[in-house]
Amino acid sequence: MERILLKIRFIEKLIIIIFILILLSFFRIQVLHHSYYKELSLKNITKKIEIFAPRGLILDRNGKIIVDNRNILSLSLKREFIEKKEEVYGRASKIINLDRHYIDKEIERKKYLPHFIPILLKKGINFEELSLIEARKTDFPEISIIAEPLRYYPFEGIASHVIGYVGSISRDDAFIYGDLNPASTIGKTGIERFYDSLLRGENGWIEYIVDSKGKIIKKKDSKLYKAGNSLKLTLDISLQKFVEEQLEGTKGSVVVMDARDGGILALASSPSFSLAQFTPSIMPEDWALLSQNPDKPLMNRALQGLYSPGSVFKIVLALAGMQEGIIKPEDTIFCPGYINVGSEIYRCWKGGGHGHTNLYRAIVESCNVYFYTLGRKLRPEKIREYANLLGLGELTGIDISEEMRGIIPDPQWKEEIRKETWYQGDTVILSIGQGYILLTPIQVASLISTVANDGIRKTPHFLDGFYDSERRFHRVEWELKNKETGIKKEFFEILKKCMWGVVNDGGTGRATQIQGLDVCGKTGTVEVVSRGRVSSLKPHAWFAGFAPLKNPEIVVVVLLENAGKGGEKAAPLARNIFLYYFGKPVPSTKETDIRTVE
Amino acid sequence: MIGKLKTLDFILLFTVITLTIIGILLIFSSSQGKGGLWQKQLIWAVFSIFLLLSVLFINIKSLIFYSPIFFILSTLPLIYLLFFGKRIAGAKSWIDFGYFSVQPSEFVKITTALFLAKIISEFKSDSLKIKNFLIISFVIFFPFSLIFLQPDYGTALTFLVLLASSIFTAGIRTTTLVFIVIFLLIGGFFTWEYVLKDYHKARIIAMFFPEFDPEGSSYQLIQSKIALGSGGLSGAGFLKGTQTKAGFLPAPSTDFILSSAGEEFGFLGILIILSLYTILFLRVFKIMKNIKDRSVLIFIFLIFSIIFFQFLLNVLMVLGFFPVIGIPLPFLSYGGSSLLSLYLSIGLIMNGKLRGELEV
Repeated sequence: MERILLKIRFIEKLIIIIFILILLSFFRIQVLHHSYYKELSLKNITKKIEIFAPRGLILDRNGKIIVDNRNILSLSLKREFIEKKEEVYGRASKIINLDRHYIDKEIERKKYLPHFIPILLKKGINFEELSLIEARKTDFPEISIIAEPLRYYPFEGIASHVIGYVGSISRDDAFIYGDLNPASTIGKTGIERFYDSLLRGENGWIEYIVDSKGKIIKKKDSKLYKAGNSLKLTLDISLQKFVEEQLEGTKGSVVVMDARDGGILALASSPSFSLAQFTPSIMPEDWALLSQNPDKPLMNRALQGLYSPGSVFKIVLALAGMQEGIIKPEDTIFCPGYINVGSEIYRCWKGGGHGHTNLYRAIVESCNVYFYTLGRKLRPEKIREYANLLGLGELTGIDISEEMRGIIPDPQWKEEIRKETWYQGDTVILSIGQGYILLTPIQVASLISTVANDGIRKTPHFLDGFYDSERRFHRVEWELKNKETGIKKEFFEILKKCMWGVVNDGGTGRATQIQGLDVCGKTGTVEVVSRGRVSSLKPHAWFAGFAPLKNPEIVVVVLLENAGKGGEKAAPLARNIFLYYFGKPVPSTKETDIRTVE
Repeated sequence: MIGKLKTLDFILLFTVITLTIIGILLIFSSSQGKGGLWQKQLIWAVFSIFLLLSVLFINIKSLIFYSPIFFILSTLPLIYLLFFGKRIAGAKSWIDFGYFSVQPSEFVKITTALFLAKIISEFKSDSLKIKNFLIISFVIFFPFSLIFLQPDYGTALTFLVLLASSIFTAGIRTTTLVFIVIFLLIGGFFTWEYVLKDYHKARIIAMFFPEFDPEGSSYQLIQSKIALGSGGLSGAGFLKGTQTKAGFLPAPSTDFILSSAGEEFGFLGILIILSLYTILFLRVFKIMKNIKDRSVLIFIFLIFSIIFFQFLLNVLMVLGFFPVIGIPLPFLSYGGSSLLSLYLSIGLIMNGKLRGELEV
């Protein structure tokens, strides 16, 4: 008995020690680590859902909405019914068309997401499908219909290259949008991309109290989204529409720019595509059709198309020659119809030659020999220097990021890039804008604008300003970016006279002549060279000009691929644009004539 | 008999009833008043108090004397369950009577303790011989294996506690101790290799590495700690614990009732509950010190050890120091059979105080 009692006394003391140790353990968790566990318990019961802010709208210069938002309706499977997906699928597929494979992928993708995030069954159902589902609503307690804002284009198919499409963040872009919800919509090209941060706005959120099964018990807190800023462009959507109609059926590009400030009034590239194809997201087969089309409809030819400028480049040589004092406008050069350089013969386009030619006639009649001679005197390095000074072979700084730089060749470039020596012949053909030189239509438009503004380079741009969420307008001060070329103003005056002559004095651009309007311009016809030989394809046709001569208002640049001579193909198209802009009646095109006859 | 009522341990009775009331409040809170769990527990509590009082009228010594019969009779339902029992929550532990169900294993604990008290008190030697050890082991192994096969590991474990405390009271020789250690090592190896299922092993591993598998068994441990920790010093308040209410805390009315107490009443609430248990245990020790009858003393010690280890293992489980194997917290956790058997035990301890203090 005594031994048992001794043991019992021992246990009694042990119990008191155990009691103290247990108490300390509770104290440690409950009091010392309270804040840590409190946070975990809050994390347990609160779930946050992000509410996507609608992207800002895009308006044209007259306030017309060219990019709008519309609610798209999506069908979703409520998560608590995920085990019944087979059954739901069976019933639902009888009335609407569901992509089984897509749903399975969605379920797999969202497996680890919280329970209150629904499974997308179909994005963008049409009205017919909606009414079918609504009518049988009681049969489908598992399905919910969700509305979300999606891009809508009132002028479908117009200005697609300028606006650009939107999409979800791709794996390659993910690092740029690090902190953004991966499901966000972002601008992928054009204005949508360049001004993405302005357009995107700030997402809101709702915080819910949920139970351990993820069921929402009540709303805890929320933040309203801040819609994106609405952009006001310099674009005139009706002019844009007119220009695109003019380009229909061709491969080419037109840039119409406000000569006074550099704002783009219209910028078209043909063939084009419809942005509506990209909402809610483009079908793989449509994407394949667009991206593999040999005519490259997705390419914005005005900014990405690289073409030799042909005789339009003579503008640069004329300015360089005068500024460098190599030529005087009244001095003449004799054109026998060709020149000899070494053993090679370089011809003027006019077989018999132009005879004694001064600067005015050389530009009006686009005499090659005059510029061959001038170019050789200037040397290629100087030509390149002036081209760069006038913004060629450089990014214009236009507010679309897909712009290409182009090439202004000189001996150093040829050696470094092509590993070949520069021949005198290279200088000769560079003088008339052929050979290695490659420019974009927007660069040419910028050049013409600089001429129209007597040497002030204005940045071509689309954005006039934006309306913030309080509807306050913020104008972009593009004029702060203006650059002075340093070429004397009087040389521009002389050059403008010459360009007036091209259109109004029997020159190559006479097809652009308009009664009562002093249109000035320069044509270009570019032989298409492939593998060092003139190909059998028709040449590219250029017209680059502005109007009127005094106080120029607009710059028009037309480029048509493989169309023929600039004066015959590009100039009449430019004329229509001038007519339209200045409110004069536009004759119907030849093609429509033929169609009506048929 | 009536005259002896004033010698009843009213402090012991008070702590037991207070713990039961706290338990009912916590069950009300964690079940949000739904399902009638708290009412059922209240009814069980009333029955339990009657049982406690009525057991005082029987002489505990005759209970110990006839214990072999009680022991055999009480194991019959276990055998019945093994062959004809229906699985409820994965185990054949319950006999269903429609409005209520009974867990026979809860009562086998008491009959086994009575039987062991008789056997050990009749041992001639003050220390345990190997032959006697085997006798004890055999008596315990019989109900243990029946309960283990149900399977109800929590209750089965209390029979191992009975074995340990039997050896402790009987005294032990060095040779017997060595024998037991070898016996346990072989048995432990055999159990780990052939008896334990993978999810048991996972739970034991999770005990040592709770962050290893947050969605599995240690999920429960983490949620228990979150409930306790978020309670802080004074708690979230009655009916205000989100861990309990929103269903993050597993088994908030049974195994993890202490976590839900910690969440709603904080460290101070835990302090009060733990203090009540300490008072209860120390009262039992006070009784034991005055017992003159050897068999009654051994019986009370065995009963104490069962209740104490249930308490300790549950607390260690709630704190995350012990795997989740389903051991209710005595007096607080929901469960009619458990409550009835606990009150029966306390009644027998008080009975022992009434009669065991007399000289033999």
